[in-house]
Parts: sequence; structure tokens; C-alpha cells
Amino acid sequence: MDGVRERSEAAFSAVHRAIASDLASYAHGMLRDRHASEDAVQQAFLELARTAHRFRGDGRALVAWLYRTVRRRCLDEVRRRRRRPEVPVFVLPEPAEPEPDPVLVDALGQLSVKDRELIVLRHVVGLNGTEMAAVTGRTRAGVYAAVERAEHKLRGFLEGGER
Amino acid sequence: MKNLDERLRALRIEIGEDVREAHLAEVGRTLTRYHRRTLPRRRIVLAVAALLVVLQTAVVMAAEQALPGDPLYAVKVAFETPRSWFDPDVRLRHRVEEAERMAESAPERVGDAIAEADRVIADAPDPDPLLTRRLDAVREAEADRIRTPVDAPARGDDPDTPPPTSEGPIRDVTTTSSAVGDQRPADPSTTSSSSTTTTEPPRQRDATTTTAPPSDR
Repeated sequence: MDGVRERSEAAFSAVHRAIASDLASYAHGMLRDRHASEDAVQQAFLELARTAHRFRGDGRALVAWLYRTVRRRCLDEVRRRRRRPEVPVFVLPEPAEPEPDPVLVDALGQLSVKDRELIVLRHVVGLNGTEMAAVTGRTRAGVYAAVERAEHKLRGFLEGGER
Repeated sequence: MKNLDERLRALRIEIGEDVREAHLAEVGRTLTRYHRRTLPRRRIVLAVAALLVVLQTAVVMAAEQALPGDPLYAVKVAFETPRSWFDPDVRLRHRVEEAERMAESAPERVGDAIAEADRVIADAPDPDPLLTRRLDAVREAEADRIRTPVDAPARGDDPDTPPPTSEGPIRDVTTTSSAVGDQRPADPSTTSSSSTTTTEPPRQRDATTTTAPPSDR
């Protein structure tokens, strides 16, 4: 953490190796667009590079901050796409890189952004309740309840899609 | 749910090495750029802030010694309002100190200083008696000075220097103070040898003053 605060490139590289794929998976779960997801991760690291000397907190706080920054970028992107309806909110898989599970992707696309975010954080990235609470700004109990509701909805969409 | 969990985990993506290198290269550039830019700017801001504080303190301290008409006198008066929240007598103390210092350095303006101090006393709900006593002392010294001007011969000898008149300082002192009202030398009914000093023409008065023996005064 001190290395990041001292703006060491080696420390940034270590953090990037440790967490960039998780962040990208989270952003990809929300946007379904690989380039936009990688761009959101890069923007988060650039923001960290600009403000690292002011950062107060430990490693967990840093991870939560990075998730929140990626989340902000993703929500901005979702809002931008809503304002421009020609770009779909939930981009379909690119032909060059087919989705491994089109039915599941379609069901996820039918969830609201916040429900989708919870499902992705819990099941794709693998965060626990405390970490999800730090990212989403909810209580731990609230996170668990919201995840359960989102899972219920997702199962409903999956059953409808697979029927 | 386990099946769903595995299906969802399969949606995870990994950042490729080429993308990572591109990200870290941009991060490195940002780190260098902001390191160069932010640190000196912060030092400059801190230095300017410290300089302003030092400068302001120096100006306020220098203004403490200012007399009416000095360039820094406005600063002194401006800072009296905030200081009066903590020290209610600051205005009166300044005016009395000014009157005392003018009595030594610029006696011809002491009347104005005493008048200003009297105005402050009139506005003050509970003026410090020590300060009012100091002001009375200045007032009495000024009245004495006017009655027996020690520099009269020198002024009278110099044709370019106007002699002290009975109009200026005497009127100022007596009109602003009831304490010395009975010492008004311009009043003909109460004049002794000193009233001659103020009513005679300058040259004659100077002569009278310089030739009169001390016992006549």
C-alpha cells in the first residue's frame, strides 16, 4: 500500500496483476463489452495514479475504491448508452469472441443493472458479503437479501429462456 | 444453484498481457507527469500562503506604531474592529498612545488626537479608567505647553515660521475637554501674565515671554 502511495510503478504493476482481471470481469458483467470493460479498468488505474498520494487506507480500502471507480465508469457508460438508444444497453457478444453461454447472457441482460451487478460481483468475481457491501454501499445483510432476490429473478429468466 | 454458479463463473474474463502492458505504460506516464506537476505546485502554494501570513503579520505589527496620516494608519484602524471583540479597550488605548506620542513628536496635532480619544470615550460603555487618566495627563501637559510655549523664542526669531496662535491648539483642547476648561488662557477675565502671551502680537509676545522673569509666570 505504501508503494502505491509513493507512486511506485512496481506497486501499480503488482496491484494490476492481482486485481485487473476481477475488475474487468465485473465491468464486463455490467456492460457485456470487452473493450469498454478494459477501458473502465484502465481509467480506474489512471485515476489511482493521479490521486494515490492522497489515498488513506489499507489494501482492502484500495480494492474497494478500485471497484467503486470501475462501477462509476460502468454506470456512466450505461447512462450514456441509454441517452443514445442506437447503442444497445446490453451489447450482444462480438462475433469474433462468442459468449460461452448465450442463454445465461441473455437472462443476465434482462436483469436491472443493479441486480446484474450483484450477481456478477457474487458469482463471476467471487466477492463475499463484506466486500460487496463496501463496493455497493449497502449493508452486508442488505447485500445478501438483494443477491437472493436477483438470483431468484435470474432463475426465472433462465427458466423462461430455456423452456 | 451450483450449476448456475459454475455457469456464471465461466463468464469471467482475463486481462491479456498486451492489454496489461498498455495499461501499465499509460499508468507509468501518468505517474511521471503528475509527480512532476503536482509536487512543485503544492510547494509553491504552501510557500505563497506562508509568505502571505508573514507579510500580513509584519504589516499589522508595523501598523501598530502608525500615527494619523501615516500610510499604515488605515490598516491599524481596520484591525481594531476584530481586535475589539477580544479587547474592548483597544481603540481607546490606541488613541491615547497616539496622543502621547504626538505630544512628543507633533504637538500641533495633539488637539486632534485628544478630540478623537474623547470621541472613543463617549462611545465606549465602560472605558478603562487608567487610559482616561493617561489621556487627562496628556490634556494637562498640552494645556501647560500652550500656556508656556518653550519654543516660542525660536519661532519668533524665524520670520518664515508662523508663531503659535491662540486659535488652534487652545481651542481644540478646551472644546474637547471639560477638565481643563478653567485653564483657558484666551479668556480675558481670567488672564494673568500668561494671557498676555497669547493676545499680544507675535514679536512683542515673544519678547515678553523671553524677558519675563520666572516668578512672573
